[in-house]
Amino acid sequence: MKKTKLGEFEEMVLLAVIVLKDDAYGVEIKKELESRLKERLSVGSIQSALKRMEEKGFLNSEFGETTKKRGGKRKRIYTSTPHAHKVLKEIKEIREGFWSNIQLTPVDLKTI
Amino acid sequence: MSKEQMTPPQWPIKILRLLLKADYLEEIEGDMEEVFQDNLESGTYNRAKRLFVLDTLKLVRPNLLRNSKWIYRLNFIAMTINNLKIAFRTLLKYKTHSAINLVGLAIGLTIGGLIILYVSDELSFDKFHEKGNRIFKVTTFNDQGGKMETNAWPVAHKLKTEFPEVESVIYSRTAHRSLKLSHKDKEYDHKIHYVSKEFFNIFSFELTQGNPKTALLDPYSVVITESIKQIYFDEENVIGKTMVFRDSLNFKVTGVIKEVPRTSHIQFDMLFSFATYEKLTDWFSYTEGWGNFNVRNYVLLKEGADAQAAEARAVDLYVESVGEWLEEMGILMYVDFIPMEEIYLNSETWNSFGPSGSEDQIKTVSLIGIFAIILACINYINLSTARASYRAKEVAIKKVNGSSRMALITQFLMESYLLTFFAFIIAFVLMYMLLPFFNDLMGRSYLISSFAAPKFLLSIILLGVSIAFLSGYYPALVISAFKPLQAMRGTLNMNPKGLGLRKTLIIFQFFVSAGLLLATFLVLSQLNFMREQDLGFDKEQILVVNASNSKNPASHGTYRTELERLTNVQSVSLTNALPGRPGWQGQWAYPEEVLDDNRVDTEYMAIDENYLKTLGLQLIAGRNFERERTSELEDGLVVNETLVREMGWLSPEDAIGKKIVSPSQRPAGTVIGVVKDYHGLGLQDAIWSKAMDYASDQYGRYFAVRFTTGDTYTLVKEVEEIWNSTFENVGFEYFFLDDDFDRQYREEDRLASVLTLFAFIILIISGIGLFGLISFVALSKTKEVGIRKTLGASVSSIVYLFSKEFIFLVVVGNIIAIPLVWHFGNRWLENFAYHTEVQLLIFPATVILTVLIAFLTVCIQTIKTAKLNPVEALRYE
Repeated sequence: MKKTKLGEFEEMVLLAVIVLKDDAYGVEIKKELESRLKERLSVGSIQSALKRMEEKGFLNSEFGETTKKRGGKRKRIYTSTPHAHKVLKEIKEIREGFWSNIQLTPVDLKTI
Repeated sequence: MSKEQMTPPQWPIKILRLLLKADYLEEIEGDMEEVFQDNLESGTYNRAKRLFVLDTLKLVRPNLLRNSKWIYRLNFIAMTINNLKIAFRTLLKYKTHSAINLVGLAIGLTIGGLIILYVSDELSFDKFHEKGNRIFKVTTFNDQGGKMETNAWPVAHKLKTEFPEVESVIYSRTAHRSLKLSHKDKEYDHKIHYVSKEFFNIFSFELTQGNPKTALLDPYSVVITESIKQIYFDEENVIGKTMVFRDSLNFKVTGVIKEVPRTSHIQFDMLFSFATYEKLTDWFSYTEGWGNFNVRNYVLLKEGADAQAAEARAVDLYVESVGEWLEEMGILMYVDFIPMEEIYLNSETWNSFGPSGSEDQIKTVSLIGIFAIILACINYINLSTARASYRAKEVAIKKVNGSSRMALITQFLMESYLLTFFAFIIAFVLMYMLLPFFNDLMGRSYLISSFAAPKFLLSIILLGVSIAFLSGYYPALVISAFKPLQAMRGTLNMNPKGLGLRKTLIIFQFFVSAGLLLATFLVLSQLNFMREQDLGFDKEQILVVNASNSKNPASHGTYRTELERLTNVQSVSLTNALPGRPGWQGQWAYPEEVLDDNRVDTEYMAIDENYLKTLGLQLIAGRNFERERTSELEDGLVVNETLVREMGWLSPEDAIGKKIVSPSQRPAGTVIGVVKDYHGLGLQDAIWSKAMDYASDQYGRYFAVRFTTGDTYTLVKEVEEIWNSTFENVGFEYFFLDDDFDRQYREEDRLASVLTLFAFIILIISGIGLFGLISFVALSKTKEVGIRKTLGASVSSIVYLFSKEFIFLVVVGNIIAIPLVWHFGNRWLENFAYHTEVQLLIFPATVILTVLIAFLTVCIQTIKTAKLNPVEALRYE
């Protein structure tokens, strides 16, 4: 966990990449996240997260096909690495470890 | 617009291509375009574009950006902070040197700043007229070197009707000073011009009330300034109100304008319509009257018109129209166009009005200012290169650690910038404190607020930056060039080239100092000469009452008689001409016997029998007017020696009884007396031929009162009382002849004080520079002095050793300056019809003065070193 920190937003982007499988390129990831998070995201924020994670070894990428809509520019398709799966799993376990010890009553939920 | 045409804006993409990593570009551009298309489907084109731009901005993130050089600038910032720290410590470490440099630079900047203020203000005159580049002032000049601001009446009409380039012309005349305004029992004196209706069309004076097109149309219309409005009217809207001049002329206010800008060569409080002048002067004509040279004209040329071609044709306007008449008169007149922005500095015409500047003065002052700044820079260069060896180790270590030459140059430049910055602050304080004094010196009235004007701030910052660069660059180059190995080993020899440069710079400093000192002495001696010279008349103890406004010439006689009764009054004379206030210059006169080819331009003066006595003029032949000899009063003339000579008469005695004729009858008559020549104008001008007749009752304008008391206060009071009882409701104006006459020397006076001041400052700058340099030399030679003393050298021989070299440099500086000052000094003196010779004494005096200053400076430092106990000196390692 220490060296390969994954920020919350990065985690979301990573999950989106996994969900989208072969379709995981910039715009599609953006749309997926926008629909799930219910807010507008900029191309910059997505790209920045993708590039950071690629550097950290969570993602691999290669050029895909092009469309007319993209003005002849190729897509870059992202795929997650085994390392990413491992880290995601770790995060999930740590979270679940917490949740198993927390009982949120309706009163507590109200305060959230 | 079809879908294909709705493309995303291109400029953000271009920016992205510059900023982002090349590898990412294709993907990101594609994404951006796809998002843009999506947005187009869900909204308008504009919204899509807006979002596109917004997204572009959000793409500028560190991890997407190119690894461009700016990343390394972080290091640059750190180095800058470090450099600043070192620079600051260095300044503190060498306190004397820093102080000398600081003082020098601060003085340089102060002088530079004040001169920028002065010069930029002088050059800013008349720049506010929107049509300024098409406006020209029309002037008249003749083949004898005379220049007039005014033209003959028909000139402007000719220009308007016969020149296709001319769009419109202005007629203008200055209203007579007797046109006074009575208000609440007081009389006011205002600057008033008659101007024709085109005035507001051509010039850009802003009206706050009234219509610029019609304000100057009707006779008896007056346009007033805001401040005049406040004096005479309580209400806000004054259009249509009446103002009464000379108790009888009713004027209607047709406009109010904002205050006339200070930087206008036309200054006025009120404007009358030119139609008023036509009414008051019913013989005025637009097409006739070539002999009346008294209207001022401005022309506005059409847009794109060839001004030079128009001027070239206008030159001969007089010759073409009235050539024969001019030939008969033996004088040729021409027309000249002066561009609007040159009027202020080009005012050599004898009847110019409004403020005027002097190009020569601007040049002198700028030149001196530039010298002061250069000298301050020289101090910095000299001191920094002299002390370069102290920095050698620092440079060596830095170089060994991989510092580039550029980085080192930057570091040393930063020192000079830091010092200049401090000097800048001091300079502002100094400028603030010196402004009243500077105003006094230059005869201007600048406000403190002019220092805050953006243009001024920009110029002085620019000046500061260039000073810092000029002074810092060379030392930075020298210091950064040290070879690390030599520097570390301590075998660094100060290269002889650097020493040569320092010597040259010192020579230059003392060349400038000596040159300025010499110039100052020269101007002072000429000024002194003009003051001491026997003028041929006695200007002391004469009170002059100006009677040109008195409406009642018949009472002049009464007034004179009343004045003569006063106990302290010796004599009173009524006249139209006084020293410094010439009579009618340029009247033509001929000796009766030879009419052709012997025209003498004379100054005609109307005097009475007391004139010679009152002014202390000396009669050398013939006799004065006397009341008993009435025929002589009718026909007699008293002339001066110059006239006798010009007329070709053999001697003053020979002139008595000769007849003078003149086309205008002034002067005309028989010579009855000849007075010794006297300097009626300043010594700048040659003496005119003068002819005086007995006509002061007709033309008298001044009462000259010779008095014998020291109590001028009571005298003036008595004279004023008599004035008030003789001439009711006319303002009493008086002056003392000596003050009035000395006004003619004002320009030379100013030059003298400017030079004295600057010579002093420049001498100080050079002196402290030398002081700093010598203190360094003395320090580096401590050991040598110690050894010499052990071997038996005396203090004086050591002082001699040190000083001979520097004194040699100072003498060389002097030697270069002397021939230059000799040459230009003589040229300057030739401007004066009567001038002193360049006194040889000033050359040795200057040499001695500068050498003495240099010697004292050297002594103070070297004696300290020379007196040091040799043990101390040799132990200091």
